[in-house]
Amino acid sequence: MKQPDRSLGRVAAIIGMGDAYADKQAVKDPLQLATEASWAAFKDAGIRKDDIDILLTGRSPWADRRPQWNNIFASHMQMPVRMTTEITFHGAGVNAMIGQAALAIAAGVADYVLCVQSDAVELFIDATAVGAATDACPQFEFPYGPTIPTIYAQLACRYMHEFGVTEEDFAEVAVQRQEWAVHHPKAAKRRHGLITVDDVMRSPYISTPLRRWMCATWGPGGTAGAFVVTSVERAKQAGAAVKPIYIHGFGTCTTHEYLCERINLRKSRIPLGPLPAITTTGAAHAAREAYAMADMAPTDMQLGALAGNFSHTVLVQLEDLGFAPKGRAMDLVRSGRMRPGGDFPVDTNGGWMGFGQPGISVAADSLVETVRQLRGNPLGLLAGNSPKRAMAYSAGGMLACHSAVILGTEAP
Amino acid sequence: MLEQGEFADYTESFPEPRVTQDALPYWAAVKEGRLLFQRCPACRGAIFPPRSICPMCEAGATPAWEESSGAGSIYSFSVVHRPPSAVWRARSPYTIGLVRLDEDWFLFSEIEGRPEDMAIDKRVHVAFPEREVALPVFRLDGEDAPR
Ligand SMILES: [Zn+2]
Repeated sequence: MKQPDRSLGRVAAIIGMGDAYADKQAVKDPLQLATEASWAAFKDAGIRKDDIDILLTGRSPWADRRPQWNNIFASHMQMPVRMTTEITFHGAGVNAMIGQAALAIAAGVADYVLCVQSDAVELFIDATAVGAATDACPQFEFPYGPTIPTIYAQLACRYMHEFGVTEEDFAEVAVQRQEWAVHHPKAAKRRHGLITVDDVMRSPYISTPLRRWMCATWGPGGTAGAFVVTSVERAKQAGAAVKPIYIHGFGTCTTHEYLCERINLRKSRIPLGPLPAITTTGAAHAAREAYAMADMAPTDMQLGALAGNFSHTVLVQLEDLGFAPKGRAMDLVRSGRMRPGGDFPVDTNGGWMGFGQPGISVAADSLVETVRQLRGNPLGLLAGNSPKRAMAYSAGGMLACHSAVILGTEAP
Repeated sequence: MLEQGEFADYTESFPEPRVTQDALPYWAAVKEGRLLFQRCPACRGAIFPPRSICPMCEAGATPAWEESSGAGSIYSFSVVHRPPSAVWRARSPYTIGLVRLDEDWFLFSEIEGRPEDMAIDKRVHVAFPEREVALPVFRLDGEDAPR
């Protein structure tokens, strides 16, 4: 299998970042959120709107599901560009925009690429449209009445069975996410305050073994993240006010669409452990490619942003991203290293469980948090270890799509 | 605010499967109370969901339909306490799991029985209860609930 050219980890940087937020008191739709974040990113990068050569978005927002939303946004901005497309493999595409932007920079077809994603599910649509009807196989799964948690719970059930992990372990994962979330002004679960393992274990089952506190929530109302990507050379030459975040590596992987397809997968050119099984995901491959490109190891990472929509996916991701051996992520959780004050802060905005999922923009929120922490200006609690290198990972679909990006403050 | 796992009603009736051309024989058999899957004549692998060409080998072979014994074991399961819509709420809690058939293929399906009796590796067998929508489901061995 062809390996990506390692020089790709030394070609591009994020020189501008913008974020935007909405709630019931300050309602904004996805176009407004993306517009606000993009202008903030231009200003942050010290560039003009008309400097943008390529526009990338992820999938169209749930709250505005018009096809070719990327083009709608370019039009809305009156921003003719050389090229625009959606990077769509569920939520992982939002994160993968950064890598695709780096490829465009490396190919010499753009000086500046704008990557942007917004959404505002809670403010505009009935969660109807984002139920299992979206992600369950319409032929072999949906007719049985699953929810998204039911589909993810199949992995939770196997993970507990194969590795001796307990519901109390899942509860501890939720407790640690909440320790960060209570400090973030935009986090959906902030208002609940700190919680204990007992609190989690007393919350009702959504779909066994997953209890309410082990699941991500909807909200905040709306968010957007925008990122201006340019060459390392331009980043170095940018004014003193610009704080470049270098793209050290990126990798992606997709293995299936529906769970019923994944469990019936019997061989894969991308290593997924012995098949059939579901406890190793394509995240492992995405991360391997990103580390190889960056010439870094998991132990070089000083900050992490996961895509843990449930307690058990936090654990599986920690393992697949190389931070713990398979089945042993709870050791890392128990070590306390990822908690506030720890030497390996992870999900510092509360993660998908604590910050919440405003929609497809949740992956952009994690990227925003990563850039903010690397720059030392988070909205919530500052990582105490002055991180210089970070793994930002996003997942999409039913364990289907994976994107890993390694970002850092040190020029290559 | 809706928490994840809570969904407004997106359907007022039990949803019909969105049948693909590849799977027409599967659903025709379900209506007769039989469970079909495919096997590749070249690599002999069991194929599911149905395909027009075996995806498991490079032979490019057309899969052949085979009848399943309907016997298998629970690979994973989850008891649904927050169903997706009103029609399901009346039936909850119910169990949805991955069943590994003895011919070595998997179905995502309902497993009938008491939630507390569910466990990985327990033996199950297929059943075709009379419902609004004809679907194969599974029952724990030794238990055949009245239809
Ligand atoms: Zn074959």
